[in-house]
Parts: sequence; structure tokens; C-alpha cells
Amino acid sequence: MQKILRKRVFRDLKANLLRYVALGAMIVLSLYIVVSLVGAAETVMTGVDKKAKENRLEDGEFSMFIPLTKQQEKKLMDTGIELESMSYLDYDQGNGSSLRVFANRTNINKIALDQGRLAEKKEEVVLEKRYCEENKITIQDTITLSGKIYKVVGIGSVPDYDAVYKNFAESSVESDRFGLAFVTEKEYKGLKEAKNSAKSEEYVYAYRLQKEQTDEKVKDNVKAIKDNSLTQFMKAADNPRIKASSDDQVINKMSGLIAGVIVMILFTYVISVFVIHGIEKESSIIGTLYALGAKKRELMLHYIMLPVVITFIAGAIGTILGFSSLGIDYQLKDCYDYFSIPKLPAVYPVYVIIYGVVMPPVVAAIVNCFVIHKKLSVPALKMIRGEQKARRTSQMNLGNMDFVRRFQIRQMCREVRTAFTIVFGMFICLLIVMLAFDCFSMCQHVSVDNKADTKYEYMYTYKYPDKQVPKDGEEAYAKTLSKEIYGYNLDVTLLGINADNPYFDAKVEKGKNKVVISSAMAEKYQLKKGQKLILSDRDEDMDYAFTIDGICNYSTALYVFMDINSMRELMGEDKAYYNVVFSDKKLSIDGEKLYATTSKEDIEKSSDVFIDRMRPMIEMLIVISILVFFSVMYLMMKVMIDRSSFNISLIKIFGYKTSEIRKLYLNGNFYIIAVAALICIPLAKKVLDMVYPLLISNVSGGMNLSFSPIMYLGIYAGILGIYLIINQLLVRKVNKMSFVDVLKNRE
Amino acid sequence: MYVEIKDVKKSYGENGSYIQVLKGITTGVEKGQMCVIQGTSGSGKSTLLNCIGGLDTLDSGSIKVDGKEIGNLKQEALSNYRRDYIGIIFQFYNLVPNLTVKENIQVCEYLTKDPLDVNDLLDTLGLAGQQNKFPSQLSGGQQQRCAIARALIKNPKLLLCDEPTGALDSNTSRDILVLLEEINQKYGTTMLIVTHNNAIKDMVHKVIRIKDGKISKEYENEVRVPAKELEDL
Repeated sequence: MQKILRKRVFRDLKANLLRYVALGAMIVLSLYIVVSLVGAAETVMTGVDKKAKENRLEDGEFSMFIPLTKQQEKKLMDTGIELESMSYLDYDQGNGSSLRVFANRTNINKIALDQGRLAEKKEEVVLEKRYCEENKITIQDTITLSGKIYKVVGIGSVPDYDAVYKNFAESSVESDRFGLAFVTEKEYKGLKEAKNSAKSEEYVYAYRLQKEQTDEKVKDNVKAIKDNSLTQFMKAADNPRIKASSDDQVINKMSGLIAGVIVMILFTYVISVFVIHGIEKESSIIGTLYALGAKKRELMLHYIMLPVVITFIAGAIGTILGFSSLGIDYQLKDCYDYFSIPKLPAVYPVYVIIYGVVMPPVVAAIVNCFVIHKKLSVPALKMIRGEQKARRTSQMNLGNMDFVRRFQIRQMCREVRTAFTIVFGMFICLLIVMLAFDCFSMCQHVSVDNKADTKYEYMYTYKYPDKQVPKDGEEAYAKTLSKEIYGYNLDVTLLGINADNPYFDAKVEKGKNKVVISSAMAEKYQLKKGQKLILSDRDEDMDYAFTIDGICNYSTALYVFMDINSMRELMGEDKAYYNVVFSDKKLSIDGEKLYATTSKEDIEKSSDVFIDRMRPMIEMLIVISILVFFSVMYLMMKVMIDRSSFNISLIKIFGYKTSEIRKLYLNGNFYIIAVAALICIPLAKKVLDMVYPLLISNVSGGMNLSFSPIMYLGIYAGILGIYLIINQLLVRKVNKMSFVDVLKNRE
Repeated sequence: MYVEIKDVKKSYGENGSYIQVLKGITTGVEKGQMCVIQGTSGSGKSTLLNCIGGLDTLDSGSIKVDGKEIGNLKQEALSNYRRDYIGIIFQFYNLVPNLTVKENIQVCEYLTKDPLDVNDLLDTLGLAGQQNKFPSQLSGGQQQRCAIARALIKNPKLLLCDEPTGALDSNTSRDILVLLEEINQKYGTTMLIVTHNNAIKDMVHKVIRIKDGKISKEYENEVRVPAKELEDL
């Protein structure tokens, strides 16, 4: 039986080719995006791990005030670790960018070259790849360090700077402004001795654990060897520069997989509406086949075949495209344009292939079985007679309502399944739109608010503070602590300030547990005044508990403000201690004494990085959501017209005009869409606002997701606009409808 | 008796809309007989046919086909009964529009282990030349022939025909009745034909007339008029 019925599956496909091609194309598009996104995520996650092993990624690193002596290094290594200096010098390049110079690595965090070779002789340098890309530097070009010209002999990356943050606390990578350089050890010594670096040498050591060593033991051993000199100790897992590209992909992978299933349910539900339409149309044929002894499961198998075939073919095409160079490679472009990682070979995980090829037909079979089951359970006789079970709603008493209204309501009730599909589709598309707009909104707020909230012109972070605060400077005491969110430990700056400082709105009060948090902090961790706040000091393995005394407008970073004297007391520092100076003008401070200088200009530039980086994704999401919504709404409203073609033909014969037919059969949808959009827009926004923090849990910054009313209005107008276009297209179809043919084909 | 019907009662609706359609029908049909069930609209003739075909359930009474009680069968068993015993033809042909004539017949070929030969059947029903056409390319008579072939392919023991000529003109109706007669002779198929067409009564072995849910008259023709000689169809 199936063998014969199968023939009609392909004939049905051929007869409704446009409809199924449109749906298939949507499934292809969805799976292409999901498979390429997940494939790219797997490529990065697997590739970065593999490269980390190949290039001997550190297990952790620590910074010292005073460098370790050779004996001290040996003593540490004797405890069962591998150790290598990662000390560096920073040099300004004159074009607003700076280079961090290291000696060639030999054993840990080795350089992965994309082009050329390592620096072997004097005046040779290897540069980090993203800096080269942004600054259009190629092999054989030259750069200047400490007044000397160096020839670029290689371009590559290192695993400990996957995200090339200049400082750990930075929230965005700016490769046009900061990069890495590697010279021979001898050259490095020469540079150090020339003392022309922007600030003094940073003494950093990377280690790899062996045998039974642990990070904690290493930390204890370092402290034992050189107490008071350890300034920072960081395990690789806590280092925001390490495997940042991989962390970034976890969310893509999870959200891609979940979104794929949701979209697939939507599309298969759309297909099931067609199938149901077919079953209703063929009810007498089905009844006859039942009467002749055909069984429900045989017909069920037949009716789910088309959805299964379409989703299988579309899924397979989407998967192939997703895995092609148009897919994974395209998705990786963003990653390669931001993170500093070697070119990774694409991976094709079996589960993604199963997901792309098997999941769509399985979802289609389940959804269709569920929906069709009831339709095919009608007794044979009822099917032969074409008796449909009347819905209770379609029999409701509508009183003395005028004819058109009553007709519209009855039509809406008749088409409740189709209308539900439109609303379901609208909701899914709105989730995609909200994802795009949340992303846009956050980036825009970062850009605008960061600029507005940064009131100082310069921030100087000291390594060796002077006794006296420089003239025109406002002293502060900063300590980096951390707080966990969704499995990520983000750096939070505890900043001790004077109550009358001119740069922050925080009204700090004396008290060792009283703090005022920045608005970024409040948004990120959903904190409110009066709540307890616990921050961790990972270096000292200590937790600090505070009470939130207020929230101030500061969206730039995760800051917790407290009275500077109270903080000095809490941290056991002397009464005049400070390590940060803010100023509204450039101060003359010896670079040797500084860790970093941050200018307002730096912050303004980095604020725009997000929006530039996210723009292609935002645009892509909006286009996809419009395409999906348009397709779903068009196909569903067309089903409504097809289903009513006999009735429309009849009323055409009675003398109804197109505008009246539109009023009766199509305009009822306007109310459904207008009301559903009013409900779905805030609902989708609410849902996404709950999910969005998860998606950006590794982003260290505030997330103001509020929309302006004009954005809501724009979305609402967009939905109605799409409806009106579709309405117009369908009116043309109604005009073309030949009532003679329709009536003739009835039997 | 091949079909044995005893005191069959059937009603529809409840309370105010309650209507008893069959009010205790008792009759029977011998194997290989052609039998016509006549009656006016609403008399209960189609309901009786549907009950015999296992498409509708009984309120009370008994229907036995080939000695097998079908009045108390569950859905799955009813499906098997219909599959193994019954061929049904309706007034409207209910052909699958996007299957050809041959394919429409073949749909039911797979419902039985011992089907008739599809090509023989196409020849017998005069559809050999139309086998690759789709229903929309056929006349009403040709479509009904196709529906008959679909019912016959299973080689059913009992052929139930509900107004088989109801939608056809008189010449085409005669052709269809001639065909049914030939099938009865060739395959020995027992046939129950529900019709309001009075002329058909003369070609069959037995006539059952139903009025208001009861048998008003029941008789066997001593002399049958061949279908091709029927007048006033």
C-alpha cells in the first residue's frame, strides 16, 4: 500500500512545489545557521584545546614585584613544575597603538606561527597576528622598538593571549591598539637595559604542573620563596585571556542547538497544518480507504512521509551547507577577526551530523503524529460524509452582532490552528528580533553610557606609587576581586575613593562593610540596595562581605566603591596608601612606576568596539526573523484561503466583491495579529531579558537592555507592515481564483 | 444464510434529537446472491448497509457474515473484517486524485494476501485503456468503474454498493449494473446494493424494501431481467 501511496507523496510535492520549496528553504537556512554555528563552536573548542596542548599552554601564571633569581626559579622547578618567564615590556608605537614585547618562549606558551619563522637574530621580531591584520603589517615590514628598527620575520599567536587584552580587567579586545611582539632573549635583554619602555618591566612567570603538584601548592611555594613580592596569581582557568575564544563558543553552541529545535518544531508544525488541510480535503477518500480495510497506522505513515521527506532533505542540505566553506568558515570569520588563534581545521562532530540530518525528520514525525493522530481517529463513516467535529467555539452564540463581525469571528474560530501557528511563528521570530535588539541595545548603551559616565580624562594605575599624590590627581585605592556568575568568575574592582571625589557619583560612607556599587555591577548581578555582596580575593583565598549602601551611575565597568580610608583599614594598608590616580588632565608620572594609563579616549574607542563587532550578527538576526515570519504568515494565510476556496467561490457567485471577500476572510487575521503582537512583543522581551544574561555571562560589564518606546513601536509597525503586504498578495490570489474550476473540482 | 441479520436496532442522537433509524430488522442474503435494499430517503437503508459493512455499530441485534458475528467487534477487529470480507462502492467515487486509475486500484491490492490480478480486472471493467489516467481525466462512469475495481481487487466475499448509480446518467448506470452482474457471475461475489432506483430491483435475486426503519416487503425474483435490458434507469 505504502509503495503506491508513496507515488502520490512525490506528486503532491510536485503540485505544491513552491510552498514546500519555501518551507524547505527556511529549514535549510535554519539548519545551515545552526550547523555552521555549532560546527564553528566545536571547531574552535576542539582546535583551541588541541593547539593549547601542541603549544604547551601554561596551567597558570603569577606576577612578582621583584623578579625571581635563577636559584629561586630552580627551587620552584624542583618542587615539580615547569617554569618559564613571560616577563614583558610595553612600547608605544606612535600611532596610538602599543606592543607588548616578550622574549621567545621555549617551553611554555610557545608561539604558533602562521607565517615566517621565529626571531633568530638581532633586530628581528615576530608579531601577533591580529595586530598585524589591524595595522596591515606583513612579513618583511619593519617596526620600531626603543628607537631601533626591527624586521618582521614571522606572524603568529600564543595560547596565553587568545584574547589579547592589555589588562585583565578590560572587557574588549582592541587589536588595532594593542599587540604582542617576540624577539630573541638577547634582544629582550638589550631592550630592558635601554629602559625606553612605556612602563617598567612586568615580571610574569608561567608554570605547568607535573606529578602531584597543584596550583595551590605552587602559590604556597612562591610565597615561601618570596613573600610580599607576589602581586598576582592566576590559574589558567581563571585567566580571561586564555581560551577566551573557546568560552565564547559555548553559548553559541548551546543557544544554536536549542534554537534549532524550536525553529524545527515551528516549521514542522507549519507542515502539519498543510497535512491537516490535506486530510480534511481528502476526508471522504480516507473514509473510503478505511471502509475497504486500510488501518490508521498505514495512513498515518503515509501522511507523515511528506513532512519527514522534506525535513530530511532540507536538513541534509542545510547540514552540508553548514559544514561547507560557506558555513563553518564563514562563522569562524568573526572569531578570527577578534581572537588571536591559529587557523583551525574544521571539525565535523557526529552529533551535529545526527542533529542536522536526523533531528528534523524525527521532530517532523513526532509533531505530525501528534497533530494528525486525532484527525485520523475520526470514524470511517464520518470521514466519508465529510463530517468534521465542530469546535465548541465555532458554535458559540454571537447574539445580534452584525453579519461581517460574526462571519469574521466564525472564520477565526474555524482557522484557530492556523492562527495559532502564525502567533507561534510570530513569537519565535520576536525572540530572534529581541535577541538582535537586546544585543544592539546593550552595545548602544555601552557606547553612549560609557562615554557619559567617564568623567576623568586619565586613570593612572600604579605599580610603585609615590608617597605624595601628584598635583591635580585624585587618589584612589583599587583592588581586583572577583564574583562568580553562571560559572564565570568575573573581575570586580573594589575602589576606595574620597567621598568628595569629582569623578564618581558614588556617595561613599565610612565603614568597612559599606559599599556603593556601579550601575553596571547592579545590572550584571541583579543587585539592589540593602543586599549583601560577597567578593572573593582569589590571590589570598579570602571572601569579603559588604552591604550595598547605594547604586551609582557608572556603566563602564564592574566597580564597587567604598570609602578609601575604610578600605585601607580593611586591607591593612597604611593611611596614605593609594595605587590609582584619576585626573582631568595629563599628569607627568614616571612610566616606570605605572602598570597602566587609561585615557577617556581609550574608553570611548573601546565602547564602540562592541557595536561594530556585533552589527553583522544583529543585521543577520533581523533579516532571518523577517524571512521566517513572512514565510510562516504567508503560508498559513494562504492555507486559510485554500481551505475556504469553495466558500469564496460561492460568495463570488453570489456577487461579493474582492474587498468584501477580503473583509470576511482575511481581515479577521488583522485583529489576531494586532492583539497577538501586543502580547507577544513584551512577552518575548521578558523571556529574552531573562535568557540574555546567560548568553553574555562571560562579558565583564553592565547590560542595560532597556528599549526606547520607538523601538517597540517599530517592531509593532513592522509586524503589521508584513501582515499588510501578505494581505495584498493574497488578495491577488483571490482575484485570480476561478470559481468555475473550484466548483467543478469539488466532485 | 451468508448474511444473517436479526432484530437489528439503531438510533442516533439523544434526548430531543433522538431518532431510531432501524427498528428491528431481521433478514438475510444467501451466498452469491445479488440483493437490492430499497427505500425512500431516511428509511434506514444506508444505515443497514453501514452496519453490515462494519462502518457503524448496532444498538442491539445481531449481524453475522459467513457465520461470524460482527455486531460486537472492536475497531481493530472491524478493520480486519472489512479488509478480509468487504468491498464497498459509494455514490461518490472517492478516488485519490493524484494517483492514476491503476494506482487507485493497487492501493487496495496490498490489503489482502490473495488479490485479483489488476490487469485482468482492468480488462474486465473496460479500464485497460485508461489505466494511466488520473481521476480528473475520466468521466463519471469511468470513475465509478475505477471505484468498483478498487473494491474488487481484494476479491471481497461481500460487495456493498451504496447508490452506485446515484450520480450517473441512465446509459452509464446501465453499464455499471451490467458490470456488477458480470462480476457476480464471474467471481460469485455476494452483493448488497442500496438504491432508490426502482428499476434495479428486477435484475437481482432478492429485494428488501425498508420503510421507517422496518422491512415493509421482502421477496426473491423468480425471473431476473438482465441488466442490459433494464428500462427507466
